[in-house]
Amino acid sequence: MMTERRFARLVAAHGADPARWPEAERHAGRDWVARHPAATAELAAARRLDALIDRTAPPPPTDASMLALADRIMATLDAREAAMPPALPAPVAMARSRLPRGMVTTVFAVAAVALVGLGLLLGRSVSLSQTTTAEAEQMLLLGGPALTAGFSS
Amino acid sequence: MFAIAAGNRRAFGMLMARHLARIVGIAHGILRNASDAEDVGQETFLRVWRQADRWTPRAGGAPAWMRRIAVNLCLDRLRKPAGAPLDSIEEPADPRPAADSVLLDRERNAAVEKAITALPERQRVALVLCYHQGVSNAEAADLLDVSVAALEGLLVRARRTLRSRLVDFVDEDAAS
Repeated sequence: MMTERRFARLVAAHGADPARWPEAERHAGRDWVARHPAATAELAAARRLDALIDRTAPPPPTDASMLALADRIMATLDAREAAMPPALPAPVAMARSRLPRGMVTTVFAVAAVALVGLGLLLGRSVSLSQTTTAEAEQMLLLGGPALTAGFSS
Repeated sequence: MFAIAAGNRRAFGMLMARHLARIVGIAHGILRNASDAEDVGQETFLRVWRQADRWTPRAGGAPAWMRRIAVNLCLDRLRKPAGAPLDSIEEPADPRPAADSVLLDRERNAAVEKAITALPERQRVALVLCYHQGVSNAEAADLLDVSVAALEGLLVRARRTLRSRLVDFVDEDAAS
């Protein structure tokens, strides 16, 4: 509900133009002006300050200046992306973002050792699967050099 | 915005075509300098490109998010201790001959410009958003992280200060 105090505050904050008043109070504000002659004088005083404020609104930027600026922004993007190191593989990038700096090296060292071990194991199983039955029997019976030969292949 | 987050430059170009002028206009209103406003426009869109994957839909959508970035960048610039001297503030170009009335106009514009730039930064931003940029009270309050009532307080203080600093011009208009 509009009151004398609220109307004074409305004008003191938003000026004389109802278009700048909060939408929910616009109708009540206009109604107040229509019913209270003193409000008209209040609006006239506010309107003079509004006019001074309005006259210093900067002009909108020109289309040409905005096109040039858009080109500059795209060029800056290109330059920044060209200067960036190549993208890291996803697991490395994820680890970098989630682990403390020192932990990353440790985790990857452990992973590398595990991979080498797995490779050796696979190499052994592959070499075993590729041996003939006769060779396998020989290996089981003799052990030693025949078995180690499987790891070295 | 999701396309931009996926690195789609065409979508980014379309976003700029639609919103760059508005962002630069707001920055120009706050900073009162076209060159600084373009710098803010550039930084705003570079941040949009970098941070698009962090954007989540909310009231006002992407335009409100971009305006928030721009307003924050403007506030950062206004808070820098070594502000631009008042002499560097632009005056609107006026191609007309310098008759007495024109000189008076220029003097008046310069006085208003000086009074606006001397306002505390949040009062200045509130005034420019609501009076020069047509931003709604609710959005201006959101951009400044204050309630609508607090925004009104900023506007009341800004107008009161301007009235006291421009009293000669206000009274002059009343007399004419």
